Amino acid sequence: MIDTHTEELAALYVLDSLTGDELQAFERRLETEPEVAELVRQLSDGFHAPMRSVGGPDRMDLLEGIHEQLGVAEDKANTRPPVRFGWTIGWAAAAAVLLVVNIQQFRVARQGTESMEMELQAIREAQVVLAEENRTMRAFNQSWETEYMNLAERMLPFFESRDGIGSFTVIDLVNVKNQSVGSRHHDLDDLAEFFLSAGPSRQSAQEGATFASVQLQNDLAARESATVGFVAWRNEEGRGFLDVYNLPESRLGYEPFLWVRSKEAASYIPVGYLPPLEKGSGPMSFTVDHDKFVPAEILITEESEDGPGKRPSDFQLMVGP
Amino acid sequence: MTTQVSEDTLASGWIKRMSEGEVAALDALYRLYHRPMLTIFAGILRDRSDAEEVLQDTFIRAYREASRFNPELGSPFAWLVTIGKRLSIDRLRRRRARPKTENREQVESESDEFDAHKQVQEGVEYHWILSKLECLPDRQREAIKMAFLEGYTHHEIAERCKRPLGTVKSDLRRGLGKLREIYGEDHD
Repeated sequence: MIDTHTEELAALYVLDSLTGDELQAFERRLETEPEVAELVRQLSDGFHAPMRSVGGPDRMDLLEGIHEQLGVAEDKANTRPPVRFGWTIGWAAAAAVLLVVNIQQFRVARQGTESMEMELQAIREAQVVLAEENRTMRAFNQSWETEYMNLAERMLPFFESRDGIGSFTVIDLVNVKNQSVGSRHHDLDDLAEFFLSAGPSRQSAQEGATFASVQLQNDLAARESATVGFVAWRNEEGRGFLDVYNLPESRLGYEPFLWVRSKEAASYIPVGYLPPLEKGSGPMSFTVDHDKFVPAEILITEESEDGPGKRPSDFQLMVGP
Repeated sequence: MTTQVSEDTLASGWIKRMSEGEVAALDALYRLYHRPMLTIFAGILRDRSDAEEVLQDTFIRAYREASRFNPELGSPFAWLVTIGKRLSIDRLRRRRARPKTENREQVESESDEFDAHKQVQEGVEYHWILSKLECLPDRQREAIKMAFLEGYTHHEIAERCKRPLGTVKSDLRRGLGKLREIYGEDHD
C-alpha cells in the first residue's frame, strides 16, 4: 500500500521538482520498490500523454544540426551490432514445453517396455534438437527485428506522430501475373503483420520458426527483384502508406494509378497516380475521401496520363490481398 | 487483417539502438517526437529559436545518455521531454538572473512590431499546453503549470503563492493523480 507521502514524492519526481538528498533517497526507493516505480510510471504516462497530442511545425531541418554536433559522419559508418530480442525467451520457453510434452509422450508410449537408458538417449537427442532450434530462432529474431525497425522507420514519416502509432490495416500487393499462376510471394506485409501480431503465437513454436524463417528469406529475396509491395492503412488517421518494389515501367502515355476498395463498396475508388519511382520502387502516402474508410482491396493499374477512367483499366499491375 | 504495435515499445527499441551508437535510431525517434517536443519547449521558453536549440540539445544528450533510459519509470516521450524541460528551465533561470544592462526601451521601440507578433505566436504554445491541463481544478493546474512550465520548485511555488508547502505538494499529487485517471488508461 502506497502512502500519501510517497505519492507526493512520486508526483514531485515526475515534475522533476525533487532535489538533493530527497531526490537521491527517492531514486534509491525506485530501485528497490517496484510498486513505487510503477506509480511513477503511471503518473508520468498520465502527465505526458496529453502532451504527445500537442502538434507543432515539422522541423526535420534541425536534425542536420544534431548530426553535425554528434559528428555523425563517423557514426553513420557504424554497422548495427546484433540485438537480442525478447521473443527468443518466449520461443525458447515454448520449445522447452514442447520438449517436455514430447518426452512425456515418449514415456507413455513405451512405458514398461523400454529401459531407462533409451529414455535418457531420447532426452539427449531432444536437447540437441532444442539447442539447434534456439540458435535458429535467435538468428531469425535478430534479422526480423532489424527488418521491422527499418520498415517502421520508412513508414512513420508518413503518419502524424501525435496520436502515437496505433493500429494499422496491412494489405500486401503482388504482381498480378504471379497471382494468376498461383505462385504468390510472401511479401513485406507478412513481415509487418507477423511481427505486429506478436510473432509466432498463431503457430506452435516449431511451426512458427520454420514458417517465419522461410518467409523472411522470401521477403528479402522478393524485394530484390520481384514486383511486390504493401499498403499499411492507419485506421485512426484515415491515411495510408503504399510501398512498392520493382514496378515495371508503364507504356508510353500511361502511368501507374492506385485504386482502393472497402469491404462494403461495390466498386473501386480512384486514389491517384503514383509519384515518380526510382527503378519502379518507392513509397507514397494517401488518403481516401470517405468516412471511416478501411481498405479491403488494393489495385494498381496503368491509366492514361490524360486521366483515369471511372473504373480501373484492364492493365492491372499489382493487386492485393 | 488489423495489427497493433506499441509506440513505446518501438521507441524504447530505438533508444536501445541509440545506446549502441546507431544514428538511424536517433533519426527515427526525432521524426516521431520532435514536433510536440518543440511546441512544449517553446511553451516553456516562450521563444522559438531558444526552443529549437533546446530541441537539438535534448536529442544530443539523449543520444549520448541513451543507456540511462529506464522504461520502467516512464515512456520514451516522457524521458525526452524531461531532458528538454531541464535544459529549458536552465535557460529560463539564466534569463531571469541576467542583469538588464541594455537600454530596453530603445531595443523594444526598434522592434515593436516584430516583437508583438512574436509574442502572440509564442504565447500560443504556452496556452496550448495549458489547455491540456484544463481538466484540473484551478489550484492544481496553477501548481503544475508553475512546476512544469515555469520551473519553480515546490518550495518556490509555496513561497510565491503564499500557501503552505504541504498544500502545494498535495495539489501537485492530486493534479497528477487526476491526469493519470483521465489519460493513463489510453496509453497503457
